[in-house]
Formats: sequence, C-alpha cells, structure tokens
Amino acid sequence: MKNFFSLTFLILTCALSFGQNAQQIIDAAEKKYTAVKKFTADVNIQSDIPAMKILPAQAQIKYASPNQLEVVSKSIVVLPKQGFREIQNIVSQKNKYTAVYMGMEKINGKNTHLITLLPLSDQEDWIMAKLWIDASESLILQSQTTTKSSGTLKVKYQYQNQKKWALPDVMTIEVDVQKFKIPKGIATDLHRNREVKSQGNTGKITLTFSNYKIN
Amino acid sequence: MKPFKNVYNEWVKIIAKPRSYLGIGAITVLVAVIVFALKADGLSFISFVTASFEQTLTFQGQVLNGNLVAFIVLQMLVIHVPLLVALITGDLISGESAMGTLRLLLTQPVSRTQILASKYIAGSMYTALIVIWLGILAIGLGRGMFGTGDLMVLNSDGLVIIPEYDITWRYIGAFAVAFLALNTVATLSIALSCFSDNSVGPIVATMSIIILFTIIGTLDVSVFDSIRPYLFTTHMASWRSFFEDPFPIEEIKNSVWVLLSHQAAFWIISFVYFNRKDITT
Repeated sequence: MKNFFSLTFLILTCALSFGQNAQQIIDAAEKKYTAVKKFTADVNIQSDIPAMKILPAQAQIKYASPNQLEVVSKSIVVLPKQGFREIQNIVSQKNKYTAVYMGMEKINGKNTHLITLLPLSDQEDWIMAKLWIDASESLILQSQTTTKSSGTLKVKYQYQNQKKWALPDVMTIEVDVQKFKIPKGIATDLHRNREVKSQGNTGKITLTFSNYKIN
Repeated sequence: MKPFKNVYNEWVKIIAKPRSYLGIGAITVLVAVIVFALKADGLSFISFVTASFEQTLTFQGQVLNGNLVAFIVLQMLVIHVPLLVALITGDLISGESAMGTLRLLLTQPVSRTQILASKYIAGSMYTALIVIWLGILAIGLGRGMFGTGDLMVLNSDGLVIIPEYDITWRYIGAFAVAFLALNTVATLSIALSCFSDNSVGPIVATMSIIILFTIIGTLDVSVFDSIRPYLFTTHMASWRSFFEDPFPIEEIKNSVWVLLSHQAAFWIISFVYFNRKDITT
C-alpha cells in the first residue's frame, strides 16, 4: 500500500512538472505570433479536394488580432471552415484547456515537442488538439485539431522569411471531407455510364504566402 | 435568288404570326422571374448546391455571379423552350393545310422540295432567334445584375469551378449545341406537320414524343439501356458537357452526331412524304 501511494505521488509529480513544461513551451511559441497585431499577405491557394475540381487561385489575406480574418479574391476560393488560425485561437484561451506534454517527435528532421491540449468543458466544439512545436525555434510545425462538427483538421507549417513573427510561407491543411452527395434534381447525369473514380475522404489545401506586410 | 425569296417569304409568315412573339415574351418573363428570385434569395440556392461540402469547407469570393445565373437560367429553361419552338414550327405546313393556302403555295412554279427546304430554313432561323434571345437575356441580364466571376457548376461526379477567363467559349459552344438540340425538335415538328391537316396535332405530337423519350431516358431500367444513347432527348442536355472538366470532347461529338442524324432522318421522311402528299382532296 505504501509503495502504491509513493508510485502515485511520483507519477502525479512528473505529470505536473511536464504539464508546466508543456505550457511554457506553448507560451514561448505563442509569444512570437502574438506580436503580430495585423498583417496582409498575398496567398496562392491550391485545393485538392475529393469530388471538386478547382484551379489554383490568388487571393489576399487580411488579418487583425485577435481573430479578424478576411480573404479577398476575384476568384472562388475554397478554405477550411475552421479558420486557418484555429489552433492559435485555441491556444490563446488558456483557462479552457489542459496541456499535456507527450514527448519528443521528429517532423521533417527537426526535433519537436508534442503537446496535447484537452478542453476542460465538453461544451467546446473541439475535442482534442495536438501541437508539434520546434524545440529550437519555438515554432508550431504541425497541429491537429479534432472537432465535433468538422472532423479532424491537420495543418503543416513551413517557415522561411517570417520566422521571427511565426508566420508561415507555406501552410498545408488537411480536412476531412464528407462523402459527396448530389442533391437530387440539381444536376442531370447525361453520361451516366461514365466511370466515377473512387474518392478519398481527405481534402488538402495548400496556401503559399508572399508579400507579407506586418503591423 | 428564288430559294432566298422562298425563305424570306416563310420568314415573313413566321414573324407575322402573333404566336411567334409568345415564345420570345415567355422567355423574357421567365428569365426576369428567375433573375429576380436569385437576386432576392440566391444565396440559399447556392448553399443548397454546396451543402455537401459546407460542413468542413467554406467558399470565398463571388459565388453568385452573372455566369452562374446564366447557367441556372439555361438549365431551367432549355427543358421548356422546345414547346415554344414546336408551337411555331409544328404549324408551318399543317397550318397552311388547315387554312387551305397549301394548295395555292404548291401551284407556284417552285418544287415541293424547295418549299419544304425554305420552311425548314425559316424554322431554323426562328429557333436560332429564340436561342440567341435566351443567351442575350441570360448572360446579359445575369452579368448586368450580378457582375461576373468564376463559374461553379455541380455535375454528377462533383463540383467544378471554372475560372472566369475560361467561360465565354464554353457558353458559345453550349448555346451552339442547345441550338442543335432545339433544331432537332423543330425538324421533328415540321416533319410531323407534313402528316397533319391541323395545327394542334403536330405540336401535341412533338411534345408527346419529347415527354415519352425523356421518361425512357430518365427511367433507370436496364431494358432501356440499349436505346437510351440513341434518343435525341438524351442529348438535348449535352450543352452541359461544355462545363465539365476534363472537357468531354468525344461525348459532345457523339451528341452532335446523334442530333444531326435525327435531323437528317426527319428531313428525309418529310421530303419523301411531302413530295407525294395528296393536296387535291
């Protein structure tokens, strides 16, 4: 019995100490991008979504802290419903989640801290979020958010010119796409014998940013 | 110059009939109603189309624009326009027969083949007028009221977004194929008109054939699988193929071939019958 309590105490101490580390790691990453109050950037959007054919489109993104985002484009562009700064919004609400340090993982050859965020309330739309934060530069290299309404959203970030602001040059967003259902009577199937290619259920949207104007 | 004069005479007869303006008026009112409805509540129509994607994705940019409005107008009206065409072309010979002017016409020093050909050409001109007017209204009114932009089209295997710069030639092609489809209806009704001595019969018969063929074409029963590709009604919607990606050129060629074959068949039947038609009784 005595050994059991000692072991429990040890595990809790470890968990608490790692939990504190997890928050510190998140804070270090957050410090970089919270310095950005507003920015505009040109963005090239390439969409590879099952049952959808769309050419790459050019747009301008306007962001103002904390959560105002506007996409201006002459073309029709497709973006994930969860905003492209979704993980940053979750991270900013510190009193609404618990951060758990899960260990180190390699992402594209770089050492990263893997941190899992769990919401404190079951009223939140998100169920779980994972962050892979660069151990040396405190940059979010990858995130994965699982939501009740939209499935899983996975985002990969590549940084080059705007590292100090933690603004990516390339973002690759993977979204769960429901099986495409055609509303009856909307489209006529003229060539009904045509072979329909099998469609996956993950859509990929690649955003390539340029001409950042920050603050 | 006589053939042109015959065509001119037939054209004058068409435009002199008040019912010729019924089709143009009906198209004008219908397009205006559709455009008004889309202006008032077009976004809910769009969300109905994009509902399958909107749980995870969002569409930014001007989705409801003149190009989409023109596409919706075409989709809604091309089904109904055959009636407006048949209303005129189904009367071209049987109307004269009913009024007793056919005898007078055939006593002129012009061959029956020439007379029938001039009626066909005049009927095609009226069909072209209807299609051009539909195009002017759909694209002109649509772009005038909603602006321009990329075109989002829902096909049976997914959503296609066509960039603005790639749309105009597709509309020209689509209207050309729509004309071909409507002209098939016109030739059918003129052919039926040769067999009748009253105006209503060929018009009703044309619409009945279209309805019958459309039902056969849409019924998902395997027994019709072998004949479905040869029905002209199956190819009346082939104008939509211009808005697919990849561009189905072979399927469009096939549709054009089927429509032209039907027209040729209707021409031959009507020429053979009309040249032997007894007008003395």
